Amino acid sequence: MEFSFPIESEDGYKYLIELTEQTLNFLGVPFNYDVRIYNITLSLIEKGSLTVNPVLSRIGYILSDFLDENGNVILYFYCSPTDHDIEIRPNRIITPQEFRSKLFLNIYKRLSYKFKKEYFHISYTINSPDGKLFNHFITHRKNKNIIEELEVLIHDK
Amino acid sequence: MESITKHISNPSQKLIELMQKMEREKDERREKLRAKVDLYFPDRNKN
Repeated sequence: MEFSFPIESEDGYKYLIELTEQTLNFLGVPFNYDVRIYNITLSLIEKGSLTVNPVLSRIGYILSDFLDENGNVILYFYCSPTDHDIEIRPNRIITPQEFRSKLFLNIYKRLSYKFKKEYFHISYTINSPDGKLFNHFITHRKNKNIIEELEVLIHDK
Repeated sequence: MESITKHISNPSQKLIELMQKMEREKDERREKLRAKVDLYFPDRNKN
């Protein structure tokens, strides 16, 4: 199952965000919990003229609503190294995956600080031969133990 | 609210392969998503 959300800011930024339910073999191992994992895909469709901050808040609202309306849900964001669909200033020295990771952290901060929600967030930075890889998980605090089980599975990989 | 960052400095080959799989799946989802652009933004400037 997947859910798509178009986002358009007053200054012209257009984003599409999609939440796609992950199949049960998420980690290639049995994962028997009463929880659904949704992959987040965020795509910049058109650049605007000013700042992306208002858009980040709206993305935060969408994710927050989704978490609140679907209690047993974990949101997962893999930070892709592709330089498509993002906007990095030319003078900024940062990899696309790290940029996406910081973007996601900014969204999470809006979820937690601005909306005063009790979520649990964990990110894993993995040193791969191709560079650092960033993975983020957000869920309600009640699902924290499931994330910890996921961590064991990741480490056992 | 609780936020934790962890580093895995010596990942196994299986974990790296899992990340490569995530990357491939992400690419596929992004392609699918871009195919929906006209559906959600019909008035978008296509130039």
